[in-house]
Amino acid sequence: MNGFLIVLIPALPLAAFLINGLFGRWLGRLGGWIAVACMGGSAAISIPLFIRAMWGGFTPFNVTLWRWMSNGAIDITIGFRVDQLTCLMLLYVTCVSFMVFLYSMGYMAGDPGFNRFFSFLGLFDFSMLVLVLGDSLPVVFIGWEGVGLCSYLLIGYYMDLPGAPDAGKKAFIVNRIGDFGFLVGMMMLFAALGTLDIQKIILAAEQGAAGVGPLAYGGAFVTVVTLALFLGCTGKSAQIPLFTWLPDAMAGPTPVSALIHAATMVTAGVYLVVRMSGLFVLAPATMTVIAGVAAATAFVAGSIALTQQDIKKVLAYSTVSQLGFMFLACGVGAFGAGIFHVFTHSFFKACLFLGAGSVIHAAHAQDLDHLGGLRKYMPVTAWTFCIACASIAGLPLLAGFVSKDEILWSVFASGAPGSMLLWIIAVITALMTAVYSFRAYFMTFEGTGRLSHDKQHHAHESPWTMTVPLVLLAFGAIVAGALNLPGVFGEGTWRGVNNLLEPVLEPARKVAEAHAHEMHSPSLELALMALSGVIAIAGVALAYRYTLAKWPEGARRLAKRFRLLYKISLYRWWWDDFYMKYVAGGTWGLAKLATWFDRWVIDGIMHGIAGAASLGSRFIRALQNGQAQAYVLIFLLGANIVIGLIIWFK
Amino acid sequence: MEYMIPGNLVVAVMIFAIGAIGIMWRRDAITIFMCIELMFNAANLGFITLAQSLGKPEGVAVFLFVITIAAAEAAVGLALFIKIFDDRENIEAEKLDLLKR
Repeated sequence: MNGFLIVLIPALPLAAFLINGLFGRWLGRLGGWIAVACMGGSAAISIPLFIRAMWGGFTPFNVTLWRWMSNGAIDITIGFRVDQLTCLMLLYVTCVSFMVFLYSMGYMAGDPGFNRFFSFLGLFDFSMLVLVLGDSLPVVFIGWEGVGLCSYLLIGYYMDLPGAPDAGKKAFIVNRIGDFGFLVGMMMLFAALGTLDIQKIILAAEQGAAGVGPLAYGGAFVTVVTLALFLGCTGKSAQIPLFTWLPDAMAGPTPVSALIHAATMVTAGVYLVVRMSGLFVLAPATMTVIAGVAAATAFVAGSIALTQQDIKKVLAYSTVSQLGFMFLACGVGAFGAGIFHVFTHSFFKACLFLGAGSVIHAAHAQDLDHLGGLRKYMPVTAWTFCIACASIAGLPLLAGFVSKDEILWSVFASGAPGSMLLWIIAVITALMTAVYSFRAYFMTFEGTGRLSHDKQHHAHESPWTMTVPLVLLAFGAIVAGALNLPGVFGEGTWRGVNNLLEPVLEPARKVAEAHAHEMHSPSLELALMALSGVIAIAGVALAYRYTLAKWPEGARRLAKRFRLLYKISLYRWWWDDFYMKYVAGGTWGLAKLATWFDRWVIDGIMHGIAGAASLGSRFIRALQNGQAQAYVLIFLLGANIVIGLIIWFK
Repeated sequence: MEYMIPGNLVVAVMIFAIGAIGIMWRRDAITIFMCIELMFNAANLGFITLAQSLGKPEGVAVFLFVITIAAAEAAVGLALFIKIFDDRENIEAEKLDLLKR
């Protein structure tokens, strides 16, 4: 696989961006097809690359493009690093993006901003691919900022809708806070190591593991650096405290939500942690923080998703919760399990969002209270949505079950501080996952139709451009788990992803083996696996009981009995209100102060200068009265003064 | 040796002062014009007096230049005044304030 093809992977979406951005006006619908073809090209390169990495002979390599800046100490080149982790990321990013592009052909048909939409999609994927491919932190940062920008553009795509521009701004600003952490971490690393090349950083980290160099194990420096980088990840991957932007991000068109939640953007944080895993394991304190924050995020977001009325909001909080699972795995040192959940999650979450988009497209409603009984109108959407729900809920043998169970077991067996507590939280969250996902499914597709009569009349199955991606993604949601079966079935071929990532995660594993006491017990692992299967089924049963069997009285009674919990969930733990009141309020006060300062001090100085000039000129103007005789008088006086001075000082 | 100021120079200064004061006080443009001529001639008197008392002929040469220029300037100035009078029927210096605008 040569460098040219690697460059094509991000270059094709960039071409889609340029073609649609510059010539979209004349291309129309053809521009969309060009974008789909470009994305398909990227996927066509990535799939064989992944197959070779997985089963064929593959050695990681670098592609150096050009020197970006060189200034004494700083020497940054633009280059790509292709290793096993990159191959895995490229596979799902390009494949899921391709599905979303194809789907958008149907979903966005007839939209006035059709080509603008596709150009932004292209730029979005270009940024994400640069992020994944970058061989040094600055290159990763270009992609990091790029996805932030594109999320802003796409969330605010419906710019004439009331909430959309605000949601876009919120995403951008909240991400900015995280980016600040990324920058700080990056600069600290540069100050200490004099390089930003990821491989060199990992090399330095390996020395640090042996107690040599600035990155000594457990040192204050490495802790601060990793915490700063993790702050960046909380922004991009929507963890507490910066998760509030993601649920609002559904103001954008639904394919964008699918792209943000599944393929691009939110997985960037997990990717960064895994990519820098050799560094992160050197700071046990940071790992504990990551695990704690992740468990809290998973729990909070999962509990919120239980009561949301908007189908997209349910899915958005579900993403936040699942991201919590991924970070939880990273926090206990199971980076492979974390990235594998990223991988499987991208399939079923993309499927769920595209299914929701299909429903919105058909029924023009997204409030669960107004949906229901849609299965007979749109069977393909219903079945794929059901499969994806089963997968995310963790019904046995589906992809979500395999990856989530791996995480649960890793947490249980890690021996990390507080791992029992983390495990209990994770299990409760897994139960909630099953409940909220099937609540969404039942209330949308089963039971009695609650659509208004004319909307029900228009409900129909979506065109093939939308159903084909759904079917393919649902297929992925079923079988993706086969790439990495649980370790209890042997460490051979079926441990694919874990074996694949072994070279990348080796530095982290060595440190973990030296310091942690992992538990090995096949029988316990099987028992816990059975437990998570039972939990998933129990969750589905609960959802069935309260959204179908006893609807709506049972649900209402439940809400009344647990009134406080219901309110906490419904009002999203008041996170947004808290930020609005105290963080945004503080900024507001600061802005007012700045306005005051601007008006009275800065403007005062300016007006003062202008006033003085005006006053002075009025005085001087009086001399210039046009009377030749007056000029003569002044001239004579002036000449006398000059001559007098000359004589005086002689 | 102390230099004695020639009496002619004192006369020249007095004529110059008369001219300068006249320029500022008189309203009639023609009179002001005559005052300017007065100042020219005061300067010329100064040149000649100093040329004589210091024994330097350059002063006489400068006097010749000045009187020539003064003659030319008198012709141009009178022509201007006649044109201005044609235009506005008076040549009071105070009314000629076009420079202000």
